[in-house]
Amino acid sequence: MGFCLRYIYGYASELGTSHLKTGHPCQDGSIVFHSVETKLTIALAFDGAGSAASSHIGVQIAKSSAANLFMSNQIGKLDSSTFKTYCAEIIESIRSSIEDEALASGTSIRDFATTLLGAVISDDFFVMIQIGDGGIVFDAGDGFELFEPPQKGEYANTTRFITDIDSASNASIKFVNKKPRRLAMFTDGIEHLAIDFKEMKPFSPMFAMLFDAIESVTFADEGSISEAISQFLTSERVEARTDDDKTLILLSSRES
Amino acid sequence: MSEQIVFGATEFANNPESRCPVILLLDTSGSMSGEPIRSLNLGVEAFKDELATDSLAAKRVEVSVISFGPVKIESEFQGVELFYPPRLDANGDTPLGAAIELAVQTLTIRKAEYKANGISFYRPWIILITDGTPTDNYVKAQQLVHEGESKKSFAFFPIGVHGANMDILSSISVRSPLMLDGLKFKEFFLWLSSSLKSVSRSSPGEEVPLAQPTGWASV
Repeated sequence: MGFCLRYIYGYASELGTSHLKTGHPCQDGSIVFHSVETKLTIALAFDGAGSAASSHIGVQIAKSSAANLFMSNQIGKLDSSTFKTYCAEIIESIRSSIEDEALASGTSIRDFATTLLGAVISDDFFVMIQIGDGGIVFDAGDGFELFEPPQKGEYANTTRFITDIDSASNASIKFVNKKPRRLAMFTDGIEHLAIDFKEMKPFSPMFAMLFDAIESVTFADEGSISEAISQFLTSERVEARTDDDKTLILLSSRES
Repeated sequence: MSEQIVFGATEFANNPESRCPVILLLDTSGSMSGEPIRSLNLGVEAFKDELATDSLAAKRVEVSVISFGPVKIESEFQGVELFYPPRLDANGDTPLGAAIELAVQTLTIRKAEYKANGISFYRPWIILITDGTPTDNYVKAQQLVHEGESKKSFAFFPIGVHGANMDILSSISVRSPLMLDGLKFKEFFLWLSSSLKSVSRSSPGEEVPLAQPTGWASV
């Protein structure tokens, strides 16, 4: 039997204070799970467009579609030459699912606009996908690295969405041929706290503190990581710096 | 007994705020002398004061003032707090073409500075206020405005004051020029600052609905 590097993790998406005023639902979504069958660990985060009327629905559809598609047993067989095409097909499928809903409800796919952050971790490799803003930070042995700068477009209030017609070909997708020790994901609500924009690098002190805290946890208390993340995102310190919806995912490797 | 995880006092990255750049392109030709220039000056002061009341806009909006004629940079891009409305005098001609060209060039330089420093920004606005007819060649200006709008490089808003050649403004601009009702500069600048407040707090995917220009535009 192979050695399986398990991950402890937590995740939370919290409503932004500006949305409390407008009455919008939380337009962020996230999920992390370990598939026993395929031995994959999958982390996904979504940020629905602010004024898109049904972006919270777009987020739900994208989340369940993505979760299913990334559980395929084809993923464990991917390598550095096949991953891009496969992931692009998954993106197309997710987009189609959203488009089906738009057609069914007689509205435009733009009403369901959402970004996508994804990481799929296998025994020997991991793949990261990004469409839009927010970010993925990982440590694969060389300290904290930022996968990709937030895809902003020219302006602070423009970004890319999985619902864009060319999202599959414009997605950033990367294959790394070893497992990460640590991986974090966040939506744009906290990206300016987590990234040093001048250097375009992760703000390491923040990640060091977060990971140190969760790595001192025993298995029995793993469930409390998500609660701690939720408290963190709704803390005064964070909400003083952002009024947007926010999502944070943390994964740390453990031998099992 | 299970241990609660508490994320302690976290340090956060200290990034500069996103910027919302605005150029005020203001006619100081002879015909603006007297009441018009006085009202315009008061309007610009009201603009600054109003923006300063909104803490987010005050951190994000940057203002530059270019007057014409002659074409002169009255003040370089400055945040709201340190923006001192220039006291404009009116006694020149109306080199509108050259003024627009300078405004577009100024924005290009500013954007390059933002990018070099990892500062994100909102689509810049150019606000043109004129009461006359251009006294110079404005063909290049017209091309720059059309190109800039089609590439979404900036948003160009022309405002005519009594006496302005609205046909020429229409040909230069992509958006329909609006005629100021009398000398309601203050009302216009309050509307402008309110619009900028909305833009400066908008997040990705949000269309910013601008308030109707009631109260200062003549119908």
